[in-house]
Amino acid sequence: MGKDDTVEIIKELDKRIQRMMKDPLESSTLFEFLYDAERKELVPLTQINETYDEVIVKFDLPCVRKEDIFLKCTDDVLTVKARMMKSCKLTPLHSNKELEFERFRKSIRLPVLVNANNSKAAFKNGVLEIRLQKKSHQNEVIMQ
Amino acid sequence: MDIVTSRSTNIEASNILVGLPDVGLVGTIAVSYVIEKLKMKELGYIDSPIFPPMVIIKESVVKNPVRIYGKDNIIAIISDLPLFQSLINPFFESFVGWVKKLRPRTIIGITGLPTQDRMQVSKPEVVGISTTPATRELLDKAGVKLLSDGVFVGTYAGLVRECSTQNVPSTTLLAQSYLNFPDPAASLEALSVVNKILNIDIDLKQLEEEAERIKISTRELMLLTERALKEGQRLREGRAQVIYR
Repeated sequence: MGKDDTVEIIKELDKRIQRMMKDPLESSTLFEFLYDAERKELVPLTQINETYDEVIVKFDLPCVRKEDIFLKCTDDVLTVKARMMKSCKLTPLHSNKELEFERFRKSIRLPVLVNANNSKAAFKNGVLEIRLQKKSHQNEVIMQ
Repeated sequence: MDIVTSRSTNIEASNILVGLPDVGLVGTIAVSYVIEKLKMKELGYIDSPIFPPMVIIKESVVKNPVRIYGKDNIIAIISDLPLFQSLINPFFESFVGWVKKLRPRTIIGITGLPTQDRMQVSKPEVVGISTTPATRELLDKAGVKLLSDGVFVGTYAGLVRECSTQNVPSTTLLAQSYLNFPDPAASLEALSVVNKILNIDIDLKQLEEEAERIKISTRELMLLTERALKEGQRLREGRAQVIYR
C-alpha cells in the first residue's frame, strides 16, 4: 500500500472519530459516511464480491462521464475519484441544510491482496465495475 | 397496525399498487412515479407502535413514513421506511386484511430481482408471481413470464404469502435489477407492465430522463434498505434448511 493511500485512510478515519466524539447526539453514524460536506464529495454506494480468482468491486456513479473517473489500485486498497457532470444539491436525512456536491470519492480496503497490474474496469449506465486478480500463493500438490 | 384514512374519503379501488423499499428500490421508485404522474391524492397512512419513531417532513408538513394515495380506481401504498424482519408478517397481515374488504381486482407488488450480471442487461426482464388463476391470466395477457419454480424470500414474499393465505388476488412483478443500487431502469420496465395490466398509459419518458437524479436522491434510503436486506439474509442463514420433494 502506498504511503499517500495510508495517509488518506488515516485522515478519513480521524475525521469520522472527531465528528462522533464532538457530539454523539449529532452523529448519524449510518448516513454521515455517505458524504463529506466540506469537500463537496459524495461517497458512492459500493458492492464487493469475490470469485475463486477475482475480487469484483462495483461503484454506483450517477451523473458521471467515463472520462472524469480516476482509479488507483495498490495490493490492498482501491481508490475511486469521479467528477460529476454538474454539481447537485441534496438535503441529507439528518441535516436541515441543503448541501452542494461536485464529485464522488472513496477508498476501500480489499478483502484479499490483488495483482493491481492485471485489473480491468468497465463503466456502463452509471455503474463502474473493477475486476481485480487475486494474488495467488498456491503451490501445486502432487499425488503419489 | 392502524390503517388510518381520511374520514371524507370513501375508498373504492379495484387495483392496489405496493411500493416498499426493497431490492434496487424498484418498487419505491416505480410507485412514487405513478403517484406523481397521476397526481394522486393522499388518503391516509399506516402506523403501528412497532414501527421505529420516524416521521417525514416535506415542505414543512409532517407525514407518516407509510402513506396511502389514491385516484380513480387505483390506490398506491408508498413507504420511506424499509420493513425489517420483525415488521413484515404483522404489517402484511393487517394490510391484506384491510385490502380484502375493498374487494380488489388485484394487488400489484413491484420489486427487483437481484441480477449478478445486471451491467450486461440493457433491458431488464420482468417476471411475475400470482396467487390466483385470474391474476395469472392478467400476467399472461400482459406478456409476462411466470416464475415457475424456486424460493421467494424477503419483504414481498410476506405480501405474497398473506395474499395466498387470505385468498386475495395479487400479482408481484420482479424486474432484473441491482441488489443495492437504486435502479430506475428496472422500475421503468416494471411500469411498462403495470400500464398493460391496468390498461392505462403513464408516460415513462420523464422517469428515463430523471434516472440519474433519482439514483442520487435515493441513496440514503437504499443504504437503509440494504441493512434490512442483510438482516433478513442473516436470519435465514441461521435457520436449518429443510428440502423435500
